[in-house]
Amino acid sequence: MTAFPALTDANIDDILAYIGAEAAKPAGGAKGADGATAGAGAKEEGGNSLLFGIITLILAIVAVILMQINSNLNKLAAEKEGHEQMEPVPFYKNKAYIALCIVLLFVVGGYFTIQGAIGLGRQQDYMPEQPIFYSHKVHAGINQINCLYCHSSAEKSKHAMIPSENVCMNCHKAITEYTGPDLFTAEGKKVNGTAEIQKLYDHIGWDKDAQRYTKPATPIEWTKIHSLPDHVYFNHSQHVSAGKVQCQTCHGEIQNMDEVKQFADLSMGWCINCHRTTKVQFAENDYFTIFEKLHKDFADKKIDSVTVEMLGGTECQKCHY
Amino acid sequence: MEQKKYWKGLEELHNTAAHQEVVKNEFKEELPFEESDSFLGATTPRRDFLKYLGFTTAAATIAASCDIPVKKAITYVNKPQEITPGVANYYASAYTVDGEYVPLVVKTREGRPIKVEGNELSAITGGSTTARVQGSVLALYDVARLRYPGINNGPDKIKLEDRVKELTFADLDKQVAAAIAGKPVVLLSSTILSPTTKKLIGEFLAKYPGSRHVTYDAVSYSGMLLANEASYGKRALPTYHFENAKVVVSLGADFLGTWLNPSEYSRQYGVGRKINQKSPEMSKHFHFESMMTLTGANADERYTHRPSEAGVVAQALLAALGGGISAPNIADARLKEGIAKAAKAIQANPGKTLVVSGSNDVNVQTLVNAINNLAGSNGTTIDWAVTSNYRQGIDADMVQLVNDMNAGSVGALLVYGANPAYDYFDAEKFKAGVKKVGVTVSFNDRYDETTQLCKYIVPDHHYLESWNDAEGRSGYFAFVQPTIAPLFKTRAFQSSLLNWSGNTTAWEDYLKNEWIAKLGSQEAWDKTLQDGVIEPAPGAALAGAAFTGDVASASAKISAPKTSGFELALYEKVAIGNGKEANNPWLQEMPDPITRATWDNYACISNKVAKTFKTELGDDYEINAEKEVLKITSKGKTVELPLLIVPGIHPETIAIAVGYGRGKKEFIGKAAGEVGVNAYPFVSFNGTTFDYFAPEAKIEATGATYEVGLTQTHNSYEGRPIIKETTLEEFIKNPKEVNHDRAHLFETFGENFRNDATLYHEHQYPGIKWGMSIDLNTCFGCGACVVACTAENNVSVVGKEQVIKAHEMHWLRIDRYFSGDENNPEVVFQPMLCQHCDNAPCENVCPVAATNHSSEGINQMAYNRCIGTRYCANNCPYKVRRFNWRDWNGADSFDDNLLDVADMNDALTRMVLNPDVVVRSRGTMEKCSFCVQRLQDAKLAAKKAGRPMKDGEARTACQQACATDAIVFGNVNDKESRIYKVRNEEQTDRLYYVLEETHTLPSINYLAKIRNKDAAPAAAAHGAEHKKEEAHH
Repeated sequence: MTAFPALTDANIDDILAYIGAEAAKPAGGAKGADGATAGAGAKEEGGNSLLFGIITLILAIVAVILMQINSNLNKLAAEKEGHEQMEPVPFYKNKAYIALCIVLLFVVGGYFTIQGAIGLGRQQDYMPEQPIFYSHKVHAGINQINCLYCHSSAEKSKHAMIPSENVCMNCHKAITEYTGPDLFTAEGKKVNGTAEIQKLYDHIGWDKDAQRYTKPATPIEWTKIHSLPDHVYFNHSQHVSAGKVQCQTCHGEIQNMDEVKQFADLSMGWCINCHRTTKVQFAENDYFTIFEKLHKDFADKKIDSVTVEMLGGTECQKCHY
Repeated sequence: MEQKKYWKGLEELHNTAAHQEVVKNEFKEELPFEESDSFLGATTPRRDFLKYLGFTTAAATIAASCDIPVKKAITYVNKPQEITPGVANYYASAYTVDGEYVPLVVKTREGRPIKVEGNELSAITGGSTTARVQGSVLALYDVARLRYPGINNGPDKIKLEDRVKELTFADLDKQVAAAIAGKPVVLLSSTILSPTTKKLIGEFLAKYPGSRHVTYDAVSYSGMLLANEASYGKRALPTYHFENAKVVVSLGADFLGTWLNPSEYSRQYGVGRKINQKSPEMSKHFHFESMMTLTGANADERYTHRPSEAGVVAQALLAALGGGISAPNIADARLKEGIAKAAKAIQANPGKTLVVSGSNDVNVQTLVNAINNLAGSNGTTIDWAVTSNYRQGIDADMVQLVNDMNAGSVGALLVYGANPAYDYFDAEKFKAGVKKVGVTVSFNDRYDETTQLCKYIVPDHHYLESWNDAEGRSGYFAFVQPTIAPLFKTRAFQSSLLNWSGNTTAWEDYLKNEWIAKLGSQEAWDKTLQDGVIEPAPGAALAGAAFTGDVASASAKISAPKTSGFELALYEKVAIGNGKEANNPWLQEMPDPITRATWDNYACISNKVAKTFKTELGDDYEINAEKEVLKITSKGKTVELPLLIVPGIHPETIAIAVGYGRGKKEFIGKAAGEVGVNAYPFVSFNGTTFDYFAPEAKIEATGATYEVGLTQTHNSYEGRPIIKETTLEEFIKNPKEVNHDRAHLFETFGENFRNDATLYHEHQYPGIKWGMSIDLNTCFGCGACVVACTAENNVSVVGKEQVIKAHEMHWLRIDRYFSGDENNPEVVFQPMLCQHCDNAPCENVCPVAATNHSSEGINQMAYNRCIGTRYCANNCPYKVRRFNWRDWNGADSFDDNLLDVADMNDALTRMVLNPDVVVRSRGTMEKCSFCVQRLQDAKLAAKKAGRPMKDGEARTACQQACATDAIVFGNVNDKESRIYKVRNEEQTDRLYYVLEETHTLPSINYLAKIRNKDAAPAAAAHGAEHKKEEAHH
């Protein structure tokens, strides 16, 4: 741990007090452009709409009661004056009610149908059971293995690539048993880590006692979690190498997941939102020298940052071809 | 200058009523219900209809919502170090089929070759390719390839396992070795360029006394080889240098399309056709031929003669140059004048002339050698220090072999890369001979006509699976290395020879040892494989050779031409060639540059002939796919072929393309099988060489008709001026004249035409603005770019039936326009692709904004947003948008929508698809994207490295394939880029935009064509008032 000799005790107390005060505030705002902001914003909005909903409901009930009172009073007044009264039409035969109900049904039903249709094929929170209980928490979290050690092509290629078995064996030739904290599946079943390592050995044909390969290797059939439609071109290296985006921005806190689940919904709206707000390293990367006007605006302080969108990052043919 | 009238076909020239009707109804197309007869006839009451509608909607919703398929991700067990999934690897290789020599770089993705490009390290081809080279990658995944070695049961059965009984290589080796032991063996092959293979063949044949190697070329050049032997003492082809020639005279040699090594000659010839605006000059090309070929179409002066007159033309030219022979009598005044003109041009340019001839007659070629000798070409445009190996077959050897076979004196016949049972002029005699040979072995890659007759079948690898070397010119080597593990149980031909000659070395080791011995080390060999070529240092002086030919006797042997009646000429099509690679859907669907027809061969005749024997064949004949079928009789053989009128063909010539009329689809493949008619039987043997024409021919109408898939009349411009051309003389005199209407346009609309002539806001291009320039002067229409585009962008193959309905999907087409006299027309080729207009008419009319504008100037097409209204196609003045009328690629969710005409959707064939480009589904519009995947890739590479993108890093597929750099592409905003310089400095006078007056503001400019001919008499110089030339951009 780095020491901070420049800070006095008073400074440190201030910092701690500040952290305490900030932590007490509701989440959101501080985290920048990642998913947390959007989530928190949505919650806040949800709170307001609930309030409005309750008020609307109360007002609607009051209005209905008042209408009922009004109608009863009218009826009484008419009776008192001796007018002949029509037999009241029950509300379920009242054409106005029926029409209103149909319109309401159409609007509400249509809304949910469309929402459902948009969600077709999306699989946020998808967490399938994998052939081997591979825990990202153990590898990337507890043991602090860099993501790019295994997913090495994420900075070179459009595919991040599930590592080949020989990469596993770089470590697991030596690490033959699991000794970490207990592992549990999402259903709460206990997992024997050493047995899972043995599954890897079975696939690759490694005899851990003899310390050599004894059987022919077979590939592991992982269940793919993050799937984009064919008509989307996504390039990991564009985001990792050029954009310097953290893995967690899109994949969530993968270092805390025993079993991986899909963090983002991978919808186009989600992509576009990020492209609208993410600032590129405009001044640092010489590639962008061709954007002369933006450089000038930047130098003239007309703009303080350049987003992906300003460079054309929300155009169709950046991802669809 | 008077606006020249350009026409795609005769009906357009004469503007017939039928043509007007077609133009009017261009977009009126009924929905394709004809496929299901019951659909329109069905009686569905309204209630039923509603029921079905409700049910299907509900069913589709339920079906779509319940089932998200579980996808598997299967990893490598041990990932090869050089493979990163998603990143392409490139390997040097070379295309050496039948003696063509094109060094290549092969792009592989995840171990699959998906695209070939020319190898720029080669001084011979310098990165240029041809349509056939571009298409060769698809041949690797041809489902008709033989999949294992075995014993042939004969072609009676359809299924491969019934036809060929599988054997292991070990068993087969034992059987063959026993069978050929002690017998004299004949190895029959097409031209082999590989020196190491030849050495190996020598070693193999030495084990079997009395053996020999016969080289047989389907389309032979032995006339040249023998004439050169007589003239210069070398049975070889010299190296031609078209780039040094100021005057090119071709006597029927289609050197831009099919003659010897077209990618090499196109590149050289292109050097002389480039115009430097500051000091304009260009080569002058005279062309004499019977059929209109690609090269003839590009000539400055073109003259036609009878096929039997080829010798006389050479005689006359030699006589005119003072070659010591008497001038023959030529009846045709125009031809006579042409020869005189050519002779004059040759005399005016001593040492800067090249005369080539496509004749296969020794005597004609001897006269041509004499002409070149007189013109001082030896040592200036013809190099005898370095010879070319492109063709080596001697016809008489082949005839002798067939005689020997029939006499029973051939012990064993090994066939490698040759298919005489199909392309030999007397195939029946060859077939009879094969039956008398004791042991027959075929190494051919498919169950072709010759393989059907052979007992043992040992299929060779495709070249992309092989190790090999090639010596194109003497001292110039290219290397072939595998880019994929063999797909089938095939074996290199050389491995078989090694095995059968008792050598246990593996072929790749044999080759490696050979080269390490020459190069000195493993490192040098590795470097060589990486480069792909070994070439001598540039700058070596060209050498001539002493001409010792007997002109008088050669001239005396030239037979007198016929003076009347029909004659038959055989020619090769640019895409199909001699027919060996015919089973290639990309090549079959590529429209022929001249006829613009796909998927067939036909009888090319002149309009005059068409009219004489069937008067109602009016001018509207071209808009109907139905063509009259003619019965053509020559040499006692008869074929029936549909006619096709080709303007510019000699009036009494019937031309038929070879390479068609292959056998059953099950044997040859779905694309080439049972397509067209075999024209090789019309070839004759004159005692020394094969003649590819027949002086006697008879044509009769049959009354039948046949549909030909013509793309000629699709996409009409209705006579709007889209081509600009002028003559060299005129251009030197008044360079602005060719663009005078452009100056006029700016005068009318004011200085700022770009902004002032529109209501729309101007798009901003803050970073990159892509632009392309196409030089009509160096575009020869060869079609390499069309096939390259098809390969790069997964462009669908639709088949002949759909081509007839104008449903072809090519993103890039090459429009061919005739102008002038219909008997001797001038030709212009214009590549037409999406112009990526800055003010695009298609964008405004899309109701869902599926096509819109990018900040880099690309007119982008979002396929998954497209709902298929086709408004954009209707509104596109360039007619470059293509609609998916059917599902060509299996991209639809519904299997029944698929229309697969040529096994393009077989799991094997689909390996050729470019994984970076999505396949489009039915009902969507598509078009040229400027190869956006390549642009994105180049940008990303620069971005990742944190450096500015260099000019030339982003190249489109068409640009890269072009032999002459007719296409320049780049960032117009970059003042250092080639495209910027072309537009603003180098080519300002010739630069124009197609239909500029419509203010579409295209991103593609064209450079006007210049013809090096005498100025047209009508050319009035009225450009003086249009002096004001605007600087556009």
